[in-house]
Amino acid sequence: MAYKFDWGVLLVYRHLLWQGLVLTVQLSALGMVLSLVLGGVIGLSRRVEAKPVRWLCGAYIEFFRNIPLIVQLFFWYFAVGLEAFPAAVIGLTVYTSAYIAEVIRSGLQSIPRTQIEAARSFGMTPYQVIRHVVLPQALMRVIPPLGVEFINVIKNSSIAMTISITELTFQTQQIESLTFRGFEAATAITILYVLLALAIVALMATIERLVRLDLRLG
Amino acid sequence: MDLHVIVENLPYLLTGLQLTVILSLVSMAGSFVGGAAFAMLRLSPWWWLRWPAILYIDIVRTVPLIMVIFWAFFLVPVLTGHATTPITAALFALILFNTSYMAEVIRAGIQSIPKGQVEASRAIGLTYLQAMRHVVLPQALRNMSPALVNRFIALFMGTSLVYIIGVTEFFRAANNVNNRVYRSYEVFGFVAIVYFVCCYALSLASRALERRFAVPDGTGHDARTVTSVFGEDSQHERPPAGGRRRAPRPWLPSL
Repeated sequence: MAYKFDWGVLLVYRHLLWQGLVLTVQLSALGMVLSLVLGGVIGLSRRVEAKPVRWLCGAYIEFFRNIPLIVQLFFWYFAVGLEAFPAAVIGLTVYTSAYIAEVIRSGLQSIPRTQIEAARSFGMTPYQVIRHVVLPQALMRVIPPLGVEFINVIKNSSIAMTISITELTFQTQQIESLTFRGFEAATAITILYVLLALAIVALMATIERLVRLDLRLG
Repeated sequence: MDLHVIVENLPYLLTGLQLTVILSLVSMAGSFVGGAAFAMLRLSPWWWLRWPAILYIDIVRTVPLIMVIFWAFFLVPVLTGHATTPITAALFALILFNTSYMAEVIRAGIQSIPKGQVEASRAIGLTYLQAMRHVVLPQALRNMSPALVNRFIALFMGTSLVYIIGVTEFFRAANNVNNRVYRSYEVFGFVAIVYFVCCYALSLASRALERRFAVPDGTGHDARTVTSVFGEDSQHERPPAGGRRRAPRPWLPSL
């Protein structure tokens, strides 16, 4: 190997790394919150009585899950003509919400029907059943797969670079084209992504602990 | 709406789609071999084999595919000393990336086979590799077939990202058309529909396989598999171990 490493470029271009990190975090955080809301609504709607609603939500999930995110981003950006950042947020949200809806649905489905019937039979209202029987249990089951989806949001936010969002992955290319030090830049940014994923793991572990505590208090 | 644009450029777009299919198939085959190797390393009793495998699998799975593509683009020239073609880098990246996911799918498949079977095979004199080859893997492969199809769907969609290093697969071909005719609605709408039809058909196949075998892949990394596996009573619908409708066919390439 005739390659000489020069890690100093990372220090020289640290403002680019910082800018990329901030954008990645902003984009991912927005994507997570919005897709959790949207995905939650759609996931819950799959358990509604009305058949057309269920069918529509199913169609939404299948449609947005089976088209690559990059195609969706290009559609919002080039065809619909949104600004880059809104296009990225909307694309990321719509795509992720389809996955989250499935997570929510399977969380609800994991609760045996008999529990709901039992709760109803000793006089709980449907709201009470959801509040005291379904939700606490579903929440516990949903948290680990939600963590996976959140890490996926961070990873998928990198695709926004293709519509000119200057997030972390974009900066790899930027530093590479400024200095020809793609190797060093890629290493640094890979480490940043691993750290972000670890942060999500820690966050989900904390939430899981809190939820469990809540259950114990009844 | 001007579908004329699509019809006119259809041959070019189809050439791109062809490359997308080839890229997906080749990298699926490559990452199957890689994934099987890493799954076995991860299940190894020796920590010095197990830990590097775990490290690789977990790190690659937290990194975006685009980063891995950049890695391949920057790393391969450094390793080999001369520049690579975009297609080589793309294949390298897709295999590198998907190997880590495949390792988890295959590990879950192997672990779905009761330990007693391996012990029994060893007791009748098979070596460890023979037990894997003739007893564990043929059954594991069937159990993980839905998860394998799901990985293929993810890979198929993932190939659209190699467009950034200049591989003219389906998505880049569509981009080239759009840059020439400026018909974003028609072009990207068409691309979306084609991807949807392919991936949805595959996901129906995966679901059919899942209904038939109903074994969780255990990775928890794909929402698709989590859903119906943990459906209300799916555990009880599992066919008993001895009562399979069809005998396991050992069609796995020898490892």
